[in-house]
Amino acid sequence: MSEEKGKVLVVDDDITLRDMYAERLRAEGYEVEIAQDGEQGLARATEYKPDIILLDIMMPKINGFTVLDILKTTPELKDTPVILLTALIQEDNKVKGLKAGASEYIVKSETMPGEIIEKVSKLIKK
Amino acid sequence: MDIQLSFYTITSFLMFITSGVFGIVVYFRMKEGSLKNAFGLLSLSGAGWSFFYFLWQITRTEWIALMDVKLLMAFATFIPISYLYLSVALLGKEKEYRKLLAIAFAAGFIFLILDLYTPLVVSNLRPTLFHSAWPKAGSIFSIYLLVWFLEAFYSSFILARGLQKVKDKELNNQIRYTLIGIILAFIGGSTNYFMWYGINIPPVGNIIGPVWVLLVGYAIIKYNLFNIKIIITEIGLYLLNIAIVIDLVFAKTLSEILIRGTFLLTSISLSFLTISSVKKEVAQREDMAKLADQLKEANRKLEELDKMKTEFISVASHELLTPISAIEGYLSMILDEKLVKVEDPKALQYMDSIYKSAKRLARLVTDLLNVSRIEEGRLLVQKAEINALDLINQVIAELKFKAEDAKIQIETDFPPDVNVNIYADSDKIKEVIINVTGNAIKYTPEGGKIKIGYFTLPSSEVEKRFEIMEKNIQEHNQGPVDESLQKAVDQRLRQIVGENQFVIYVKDSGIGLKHDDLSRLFKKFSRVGEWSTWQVQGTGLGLYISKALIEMHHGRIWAESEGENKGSEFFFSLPLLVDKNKVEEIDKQVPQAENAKPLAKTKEDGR
Repeated sequence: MSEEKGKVLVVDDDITLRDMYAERLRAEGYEVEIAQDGEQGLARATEYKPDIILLDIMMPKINGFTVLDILKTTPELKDTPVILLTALIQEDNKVKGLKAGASEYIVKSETMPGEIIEKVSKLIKK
Repeated sequence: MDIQLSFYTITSFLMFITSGVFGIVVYFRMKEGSLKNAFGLLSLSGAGWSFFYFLWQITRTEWIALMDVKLLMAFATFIPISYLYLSVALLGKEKEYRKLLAIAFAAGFIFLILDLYTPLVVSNLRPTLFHSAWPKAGSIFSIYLLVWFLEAFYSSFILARGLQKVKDKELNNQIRYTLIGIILAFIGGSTNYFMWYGINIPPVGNIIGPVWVLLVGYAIIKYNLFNIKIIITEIGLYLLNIAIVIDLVFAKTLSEILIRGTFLLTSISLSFLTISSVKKEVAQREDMAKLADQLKEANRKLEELDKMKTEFISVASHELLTPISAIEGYLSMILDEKLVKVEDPKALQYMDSIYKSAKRLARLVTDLLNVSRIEEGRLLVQKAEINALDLINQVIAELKFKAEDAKIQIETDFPPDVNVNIYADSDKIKEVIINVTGNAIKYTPEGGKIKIGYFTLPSSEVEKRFEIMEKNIQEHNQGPVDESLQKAVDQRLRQIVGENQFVIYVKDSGIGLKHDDLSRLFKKFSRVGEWSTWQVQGTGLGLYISKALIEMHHGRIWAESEGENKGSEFFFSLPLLVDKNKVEEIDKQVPQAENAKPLAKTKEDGR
């Protein structure tokens, strides 16, 4: 079943939230890989080749915007949809993220895990 | 006493007076320390030298003249030494040059003894072309002179080198003036020595002598022109009174003594009055300058604090929202999605309460963050063509359950002939509609009614109705009118655009508004009624944010009410799509969010 639903990479430095999203996605039948910062996120993305990436912005080492820029300039990863999943509610960040090639910009406090699952499933189907 | 008024008499007297008076006045105004000691010593040496020079010029007795010359040379010995001391003190390098200073002073005392008690420095006096009793160089006079000039040159060298390194403009100028003053004085003073060797070049440089004291003194009181005003007044009056005293001494009759004495007393008392008034004026000006400086500093600190505050709110909001998101997320997985089975209905009820509280907390933090963004001028508004009717319907759908819970009926008034195409940021306007309608639900008791509708209104009418409210607020105001918001939204953005505007209104049958309420309504953390009787929950930021958002759209938001318990009506106006070009034109003048920076978290954040 997991083979059909797809592979998701969750990159977030907050362990509680990261586990929450991972658990929720696994419950839905997705295969989930996690990374705790931008650097690890990039490494996992290269070796794991996920179908979609959930990416936090404010992270140690390399922030989400930089990770996104690198992903979008890496040939084998540039077509992988990226959902920016962040606590930053400022619109300028949203504009910046979408311009840089993110498929969605989701504010964590405004979007419940169930809604995120819907967005993930829609983007993978595309 | 027959005083021969020669060039040398006059210059040396002038030098004595300036060195003495100016030196004393400046000395007593200086802060304790080596700079003060050095300046005092330099003034004393200069004054002593010129005083005995003057005495030597006016005396006719040969042995007295010789003694005067020996004494003037004794003082002259210490002129370059105190200059060295002053140069070192000016650069704050007393410790570094302590040994050199000790040697210089020791040499000075040896020369002093040799000068006073032996003929090695000054051998005797002899008549020259210009003077009846000019000194003749003793056998070690050349060594004396060499040491004298070495000290002077070395001091100038130290100062000149220090001048290049000193970045402080004030100290730099101080050193520059000292250097110029001293070099002039040494050039002038050295013209005294040719005739010692029988070379017939007269000491023409004496006239430059007084210049050094003025320049050094001026430099030392650090460009403080206020102080120099007092000093000049004091010196002027001092000289005037001395002249009167001399005049009094030469009085021949009793009546002359009486007249000149009275004149002197009057002059002295007037001098005191003048000096004290100048001092007072200077003190006042200094106080004012000080106050202005303090004000500038306080202002700078306030700006810094203000910036720190907004930055703190941004970061704190982010840090707060992350854990709240986890609480909300996990609870939603239990409550909405039923991913975990919870058997006890009480547990579910408790969890529901936690969930609602977390939602409220998230709303509060988001509102706070928005306020800080608005006040920083960093809130981004993205305008586009939108259908206002669709937007209102979306909000009604979202708030339907909340209204049903509160047993409140929502009615609509959507006239079909009104153009609903507006030019605005749909997210922002939706937030305003939610805020205003949410308030109506909050402040309307069970069984009440809310009506939402729209119409178009000439902009002049919009302005008029807004002004009526503003006037009401001003009449019943307890403080300045939302000054934080006036600062937050650029005045250029606040101008109303278009001939007509699209007005959305929300009318309720709730608790209504008193005049006092009206003045608080659009302020931060405002609530209607007394805090002790708040029955509704909220952040008190909704209307403040709404006002900023509407004004950033070139519209107005205002409230009307018949009074307490008579319900209230909120209106807000927005530009129609036909005025898109005018809106864009104004928005272009006010580039928004140009200083917006994304918050990037780094390792240094301590995580």
